Formats: sequence, C-alpha cells, structure tokens
Amino acid sequence: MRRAVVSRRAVLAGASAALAVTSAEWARAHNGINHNPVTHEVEVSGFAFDPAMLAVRVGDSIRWTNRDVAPHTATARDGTWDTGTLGQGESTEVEVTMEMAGEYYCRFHPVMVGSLDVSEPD
Amino acid sequence: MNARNALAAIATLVALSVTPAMAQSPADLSDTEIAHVAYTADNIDIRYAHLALALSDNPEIRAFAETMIRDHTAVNEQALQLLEQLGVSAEDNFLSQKLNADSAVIITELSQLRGAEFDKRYAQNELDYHQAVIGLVADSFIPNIDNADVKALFEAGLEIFRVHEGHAAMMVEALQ
Repeated sequence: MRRAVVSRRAVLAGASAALAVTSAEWARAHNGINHNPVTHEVEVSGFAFDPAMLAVRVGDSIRWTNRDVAPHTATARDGTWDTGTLGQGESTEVEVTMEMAGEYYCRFHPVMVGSLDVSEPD
Repeated sequence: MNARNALAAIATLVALSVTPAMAQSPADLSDTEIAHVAYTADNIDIRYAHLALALSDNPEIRAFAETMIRDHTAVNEQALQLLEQLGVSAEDNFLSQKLNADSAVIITELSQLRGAEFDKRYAQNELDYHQAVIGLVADSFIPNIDNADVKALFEAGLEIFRVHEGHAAMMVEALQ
C-alpha cells in the first residue's frame, strides 16, 4: 500500500513538473520572452580570446577552448572565477552569473584580456 | 653488393659524415639539428627559471619563471611528439653546444646574485635571451625548415617567444 502511495505521489509530482514547464513555455510565448540558456564558444588562439568581448545572459554557459601550444586560463580580474589550466585542445565550460561581468585575463600571460557583458535573462 | 648499391652506400656514408660537420652557420642546419637547437634553447630557459624560483622572492619574477617552465615544457613535449611521429631523432650540433656553453657562464653569474640584483639581471637576461632566440628562429630557422609540420611548430614557438619577450620587457621596466 505504501508503495502505491509513493507511486501516486511520484505521478502527481511528475504532472506538476510538466504543468510548470508548460506554464513557463506559455509565459515565454505570450510575453514575447524567448530566452533559453545558450552555450557561447570562446577560442583561445594566438595568445588572444576570440571573441574578446562577449554579451551573455545569466544562466548561459561559456566554453573556452585552448588551441595554442602554451597552456592558458580565463580568470576574473578579482579572482572570483577561473577556468583552471587549459592545455592545448582542452575545454572548460562555466555557467554565467552576474558577478562574472567585466574583464578577465590569462593568469599565465597577463597581456591576454577578454571581457563579458552580462545581463539578466528576460 | 652490386656496383649501383655500392655507390649508393658510399654516397650515404659521405652525406652522413660530411653534412653535419660542415654546418657551421645556423642557416646550414638540417631540420633535425634545428629541432635539437630548439629543444636545447627551451631547456636552457627552463634552467634559468628554476634558478629564479630557488633564489627570488619577487612574486612577479616567480610567476614569470613558472610561466617559462610551463610554456617551454609544452613546446618541448610537442617537439618530441612530432619527432616521434616523423620517426627521426634530434641531432646535436655546434649551435646547441654553443648555447649550452654560453648558458653555463650566465648560470654561474646569476647564482652569485641575490635579492633585487638577481631579479634585475634575471629579467634582463630573459629579455636578451628571448630576443636572440626570436632572431634565430625567424631569420635562420623558419626560412630553412623543409618539413611543413616542423615549420608549423616553430611558427607556434615564435609566437610564444614574442609574448615572453614582451612580458620580460615589462618586467625589466618595472624593476628599474
């Protein structure tokens, strides 16, 4: 009997989740809001971030991929976020938060600079 | 062994014994000798960097030295991987030997310095050394490398050395 109750609760939870998703989609469609999280690509090549400036929204992701022989990082100026060391051909993905807005650089080669223009999702 | 094979064998022996010995100018070096020079030059800068980590307390100098070890090790790993793919070995030569002899003198000099004196001399040597290697790679090696993959690796290396040169120049200026 206990199992049946749990099962019914699971069904109800599933139905609620489905309704919530449908409501969100309905809201987006009827309010002209259409923002699904996006993954942005940044190539690290020739000792530069490409693109150097990127407009993103909170909840998006950014994937940095190092194409150089030399290892690189993408690191916040204030040190609040860091991709860690990326060897040649390696990638790291970071989810965007509002705190990431502003300039970042490579810890190993300070001449390499990029910037993020972060806005709230609609 | 027929006459044609005998002639071919003699030609090979002559090429092997004469060509390396005749190379007395950087522009005359073969691809495998150039690879040896690059590997040697990378290792020399790694040795300077280890000396800096042992003797300097300056955070900028230490960070630069760590970058030198990281980057030159990455270049050397790529070079060794490429030589393995090509099925050849780097060949010792007059220029590798000269670079090693020159670096021994500089390491002796640097080892006797401490504090700000060491930092200034290390930074200036890094600037001079990278400028010398850039000249060698850009003017003598890249125009004379035959293999396309080896040339591509040297072009990538040249880009790295130029960034290091700029970084070293900033360090020299900051330490004035």
